[in-house]
Order: sequence, then C-alpha cells, then structure tokens
Amino acid sequence: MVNTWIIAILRLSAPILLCAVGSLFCDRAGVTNISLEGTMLLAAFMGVFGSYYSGSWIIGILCAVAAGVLASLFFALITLKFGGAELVVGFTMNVLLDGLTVFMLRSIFKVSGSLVSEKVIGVPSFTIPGLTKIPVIGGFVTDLNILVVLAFISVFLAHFIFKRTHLGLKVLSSGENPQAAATVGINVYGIRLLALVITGVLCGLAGAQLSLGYLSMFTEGMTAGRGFIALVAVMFARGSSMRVLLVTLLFGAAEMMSNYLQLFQYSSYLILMIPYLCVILLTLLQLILEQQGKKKRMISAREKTA
Amino acid sequence: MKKFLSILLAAVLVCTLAACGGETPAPSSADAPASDAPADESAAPADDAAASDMNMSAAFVTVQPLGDPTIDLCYAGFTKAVEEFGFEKTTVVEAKAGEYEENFRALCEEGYGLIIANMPELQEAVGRVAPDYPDTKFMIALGEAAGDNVISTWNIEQYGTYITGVYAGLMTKTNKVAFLGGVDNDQLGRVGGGFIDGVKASNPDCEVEVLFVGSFTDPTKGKEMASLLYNEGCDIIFQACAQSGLGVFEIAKELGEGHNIIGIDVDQNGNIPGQVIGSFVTPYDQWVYEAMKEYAEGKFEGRVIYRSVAEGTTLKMATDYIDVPQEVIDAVDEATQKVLNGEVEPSDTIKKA
Repeated sequence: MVNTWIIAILRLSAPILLCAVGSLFCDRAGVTNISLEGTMLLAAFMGVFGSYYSGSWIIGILCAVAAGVLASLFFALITLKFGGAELVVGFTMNVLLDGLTVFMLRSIFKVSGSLVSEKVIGVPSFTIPGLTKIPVIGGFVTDLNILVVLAFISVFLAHFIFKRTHLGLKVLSSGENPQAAATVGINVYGIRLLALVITGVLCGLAGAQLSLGYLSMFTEGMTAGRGFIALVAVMFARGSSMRVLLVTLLFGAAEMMSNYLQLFQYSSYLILMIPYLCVILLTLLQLILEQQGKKKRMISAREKTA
Repeated sequence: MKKFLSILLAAVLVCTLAACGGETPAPSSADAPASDAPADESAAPADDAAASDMNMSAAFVTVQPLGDPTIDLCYAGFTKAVEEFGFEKTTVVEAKAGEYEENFRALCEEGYGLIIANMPELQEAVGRVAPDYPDTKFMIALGEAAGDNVISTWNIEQYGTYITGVYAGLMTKTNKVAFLGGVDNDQLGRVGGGFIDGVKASNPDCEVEVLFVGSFTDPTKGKEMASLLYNEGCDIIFQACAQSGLGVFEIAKELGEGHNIIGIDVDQNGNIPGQVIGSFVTPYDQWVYEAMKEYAEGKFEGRVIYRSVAEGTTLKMATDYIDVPQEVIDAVDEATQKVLNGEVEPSDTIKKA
C-alpha cells in the first residue's frame, strides 16, 4: 500500500519538479519567466512528434528538449536582447505556444484535440529487481523511467551547483545584484542566457515526461496548469532547491491523497481543492514563522543594545 | 523660434487628426447611423439572402475544442447536413468561458441563419441572446433554453445508463465496478445515478466506486485515477470524462486482460478490442442533422425535445469483440423493456453515502 502511494507521488511530482528546477535557475539569475506552461506544452508536442516519426523515444526526448530550448531562446531574444517586459512576453508566449501546438496538431497530424497512435513510442519504465517487496524503499524503485530519475537528479544537481560551484555563485549574483556582478567582471547577459537555456532543457524534459513518460499521447492543453504550479513552488521555495523538492513532493502527495479520499464519497469539489489548499496553507505557515523569527531577532537586538 | 515651431507642429498634428476623425464616419452614417462600418458590411449579404429565399449559413459553436469524441460526433452531423442541404457559409467557433454571450451576438450580427450550440454550458447564453434576434434560429445539442427560435434537445441519460449499469453488474467478475466522471455536474449526475441504480438492480452485492477527475482535458490525471480504481479491485470502469478518458484507455491497455472499460457517447468498443465491453452511445450527430434538416426545409419550430432510450441513447454491447453470455444479453433486453414500459425510475443524481 505504502509502495503504491510512493509510486504515485513520484509519478505525479516528476514533471512539476523538472519544470520547477528549471524555473529555479532563471529565477535565481534574475529572470522572471512565466512561460513555463507554454514551453512544457510545446515540448510535450514535439516529444510526440519526434517519437512518432522516428519510432524512438530517445529522439522524442531530444526533440522535446530542443523545443524547450528554442522556446527559451525566443523568450531570451525578446526580453534580454530587445528588453521586452518579462511578464508580458511570458504571458503572451503561454497563449502563443498553446495555439501553436493546436495548429501543428491539425496541420501535421490532421487530427484535432488529441493524438493517440501506436506509432508514439513511450519511454519504457523499469524496476530495480529484488527490492520491490520491501516497504517504502520498494516504492522508490518500481515503475521508474529515465525522466523521473532525471527529475530527482536535477534537483540535487541544482543544489550542488548553487552551493558549491563558481557558476552557481555567478548565477546568484546576477540575480541578486546585477550591477555589482557586472562590476566584478561577470557577464550577466551570458549568465542569464545560460540560465534560460537550462530552464528550456528541463522544461523540455518535463514536457516529455507528460507526453512520453507517463502517457504516450498528446492532447491539447495537456499540461493542465502544471507549469504554473512549478512557478508557485519556486516562489514559495525562495531559491532553495531542497525546498522546491519538498513543495513538489508535498503537492504530489496531496494530489495522490485527494484521489484516494474521493473513494470515501466526499464531494469531489472539496477533495480536488486539497492540493492547492495545502500549498496556500504552507505559504501562510512559512510567513507566520518568518514573522515570528523577525520579532525574536528584533527583541534580541534590542536587548543587546540595552 | 523653437517654441513657435513646436506649436506649429502640434497644430498641424491636431488638424490632421481632426481630418482623419472627420472622414471615417462618413460612409457608415450614409448606410446606417446606429452601428459602425464593419458590422454593416458583414450583415449586408445576410439581408440579401433573407430577402431572396433562405439564409443558408450556419455556425457551429462549441465549448470544448474539436477532437473531443462527443464534439466530433456533433460535428459529423453538422458537416453531413451542410453537404446534403447546401449550406453556403459555415463557421466553427470555440467559445471561451465568460464570452459565450458575446460570441453568439457576434454571430447573429454577422447574419448567420442557424446557430448550433453544443453542450449545456451554452444554454444560458442562448437563452439570453435568442429573444433579441428572432430571425436567427438556434439549436442546442444537449441543453435547454426557451424561445420560439430555439430547438433544445435534452438527453435523459439515467434510463440508458441504468441499462448500462445492469450490464456492468452482470459482467463484473470482482463484484466491484467504477464510474469515473469528468466533473461533478448535473449531466454526469444523471449518467452516474442511473448507472449505480442499474448495477444494484442486477447485482446487489456489487460495489460501485465513484470518482471525478476534476477536468475533462487532463489525461494524465485520468490515467492516475483509473490506475487507482483498477488497483482497488474494480474490473470495469464506466468512463465519462472526455479527453481525460484517453488516459483510462491507456492504463487499461497497459494492464491488459481483466481491466475493462465502458465507453461513452461514441461507440468506443473498437478502441481496445476485447477490453471495451460496451459503450453508452448518444446519437448527437442525428440530433444536429435533424435540426438542420428542419431548418433547411423551412419547418423550423422552436421547442424542447426530450430524448432517451427509445431514441437511441442506450447501451451498445461490444458483441463484435467479446463473447457476451446469452443470459446477459437477455437480462439487458429485459431491462430495456422495463425502461421502455416505464417500470423503473432510476435516480438522476449520484447519492453520496
């Protein structure tokens, strides 16, 4: 039972996690990129496109990643190069890319709404044998696929990059204080571009997880708001990659629980709110804790001066 | 000097602007002073058509995009009628929530003679717009709105799904079946309510799980919920969640034999041969076609049409793909007879424990 829960949580949080880690990079580099939803959707489509025509899921994933990077570069071109307003461009790109996938679906595959085909080869899932029966641990090694594994590697890699490497420091300083960073010789423009490319790669993987990982099909608007949830996870985490992991896992767990709770005949409208409610409550809790921390610090500071 | 120049430039600018502003209203005020130019132009051909004989233009308005099996079925009826009766001008509009009324008004202003609105979400907007445009005819496929120029077709699903439930209750081997809806609304209340009553009627020991995906367009979540239901020991899922249902088909295919589906609206029996044991079908295409035929023949008459089992909204067993035991077929026939004789009154809501 516990194992099936863990499998479900990993499955539900993987695309959000990939997308959130991507978002973390551009957020830390000082770029507000809200076009994750659209980027992910385009990647999901291109993943299916690649897999459909090549018959290989590897090509599919590569296509998805390429699409993600391309969308990010487009975003970079307009915001970084031409100085467009990030929020406006991001919002417009979400609408644009949604429309683009619909258009391509109709013009390339001559279907509307959804593409379900035998020719779409999904990413195979694997299980590490021998461990599946063990409670808890078994859940982490059953029904995995390369994209789920990559999602969890990416978050630890991000943690390492931000905490231990020069590149991480450069990204952080470009976001915190770009003028100061430029003064010490950091190419802020280049760093932001790099961060956006990383975002593109990870959003591409997230899209591939949706259309080739768990499902092997494409439907219009199949991201269903996951890009925005990733955005919220990053805002909530305030730059800590470990907190990103925590929030996405929490969201996955809440979504999984809400599915189970419906079996007990509660109103689906109430139950389906749970994941979102959880995130709001956590944010509130964090704010309260921070406020208290501030108060304590002020009191101790006052005591010191007195 | 500089100051003078800037004043001069400003003056020139104001003059040109005024000139531009003065020119534009001229042509439209000549035609009709009340409305602006573009609306007039597009309305003009419609007036001609009405004057000559019939206004053979039709619009297809939908909430969900084409590609949804149900909407595609409605659209099939639409295109069939368009070809057969020679509608000259057609358009497909994907209405966005919050703009339904504006969408309809725009179509009326453009002079469309017949507007086909799909799904109950649009009924309120049609109810508000229809009285203002008495010359435009409306048809709602699944929905209800009053008006002399509106044909509403309303499906009373619970009778058909009752029969579907009877079938599911007899076909289950685990004594556990499930209803997976898109969103908990009135329509799916009728679909689910009838289904549950049917299962209980044919197999009182059978449990029925009821889940809602929360969206009609999220196949990922549809698959997750279906896998949960199969995990819980259900062997038949009656899916009523449009595109989210694609996920249900995928998980059933992955898990293989013993994980069955009952499809909805369209005959989905061939989707996974052997595992889709039946479909609850509704001939939406027929409804749309008939309304358009009436219009084309000039016999359009606003009314509400109720449809149920007798009109074909009923279970279609997958006898082409699986062996359905004779006693099950007999039981289904018997249930159908009972429904037609008015002997059963299935619930139109899902009762929560």
